[in-house]
Amino acid sequence: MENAVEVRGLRKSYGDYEINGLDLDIPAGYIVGLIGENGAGKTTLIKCITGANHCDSGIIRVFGSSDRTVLGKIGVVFDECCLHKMMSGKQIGNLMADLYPEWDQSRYEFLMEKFGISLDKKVHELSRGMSMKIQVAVELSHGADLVILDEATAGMDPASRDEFLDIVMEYMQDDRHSMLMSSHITSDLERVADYIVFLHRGRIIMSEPKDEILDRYGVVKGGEAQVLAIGRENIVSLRRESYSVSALVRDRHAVKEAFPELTVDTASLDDIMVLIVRGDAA
Amino acid sequence: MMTLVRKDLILIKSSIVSLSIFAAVLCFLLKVPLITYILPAVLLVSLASASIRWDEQCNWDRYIMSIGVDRNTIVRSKFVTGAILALIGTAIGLVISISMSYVYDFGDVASMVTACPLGFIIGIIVSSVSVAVYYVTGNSVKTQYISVVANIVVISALITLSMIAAEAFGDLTLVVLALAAVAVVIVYTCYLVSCRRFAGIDL
Repeated sequence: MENAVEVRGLRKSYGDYEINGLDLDIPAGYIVGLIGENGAGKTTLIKCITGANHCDSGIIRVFGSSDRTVLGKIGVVFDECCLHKMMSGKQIGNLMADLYPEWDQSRYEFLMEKFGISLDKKVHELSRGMSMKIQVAVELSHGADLVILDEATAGMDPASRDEFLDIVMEYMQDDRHSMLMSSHITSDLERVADYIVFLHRGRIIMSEPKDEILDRYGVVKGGEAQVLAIGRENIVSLRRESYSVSALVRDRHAVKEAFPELTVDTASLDDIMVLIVRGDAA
Repeated sequence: MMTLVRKDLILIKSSIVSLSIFAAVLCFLLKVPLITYILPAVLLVSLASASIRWDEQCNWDRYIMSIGVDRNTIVRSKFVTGAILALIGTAIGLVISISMSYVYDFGDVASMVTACPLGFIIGIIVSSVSVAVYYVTGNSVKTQYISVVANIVVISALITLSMIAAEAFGDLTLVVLALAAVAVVIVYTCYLVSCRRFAGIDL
């Protein structure tokens, strides 16, 4: 499978925080969801991929090349609007038409209309969610083969997020398009992502197909003795609460078969994140 | 690169107008020919380093880099913006001088045209030094003070040099050419320093 992005041995440190020896592939034509707690390194990783940050060491290739100065191949939406507040939607469109060789003005205007944003309004007159939508409209209108979204839906209301995800799925119908989507709203990733990468304290602790994660991982709840009876080799993380223990297991079907008396629930991405971040490794 | 320059000029166009009016009022009040040639350019080029601050406030550089614009192009666009502002300021200074010649004894138009490139030279030097200081020190309170001090030092050196050149050559045209040569060296040095500094920054 061809990769849109290949990261090998990425190292980046900021004083007491570091990404150490990270390997990551974003397969071409797929959506990779990136999850992790605050400060895990998601934005740092994205900035290293886009070239906004220098890596201490490691190799990053986008579409097979280390050269990231090819205009228009990559689209990025950061967690805050990076467009000048005094520019209107129309001025932004004109600017981007000058900047991008494959700018599609009609597509931009269509998306702006779909998002309900007037082209005459300046960015500072819009809410946070609306200004993020302008950025999304820009990044989906210049023929990018790789779009990176860093908390792009933060600040959007549920209806807008739903509409945004529809647009993402429509964009991904072209097999040439790839996406890396970092989000705390894991339900969005459960809906659209093909792969999930979990970044925890600068390291990737999970990188698997989303459907497999949601099918295999489970949460076992009960008394401590009951839960520990399934064996530490089957437990990814353990969280002790006031009156019970919750354990994240890698293969809920096997645990259910071996211990039919236990309650084994499916694990959402939220459950997995909370149990790993706030629990203890087995 | 010219797209980035156009972006800057669009964002600062209202400031260009207001600063030009301010410069015209000051020139008419001060009535000093040399200041009339230089002041509009010096005032306008301050907008070049202001545009860097505005870009930083909205993380524009992080975005533009991420979509494939290389760092040297970003730096170069600021120097070109400064040069264009110096040119606009010089033209405004010339217009003000000619206007004032109808009211005060400002000399003939030919000598104004010969002298007004001083405005462009001083303006482009001030712009380049300010932009370089900004890239070296970043967006902090001390940046503006350092920029003012650096420009005072450079302008003082230029004034000294121009007095020496005037003594040596006698001809104003030769003095302007000598200052232009010095300006080329200063601008290029500032550009190299800015590129080197910006190349190492995490955005």
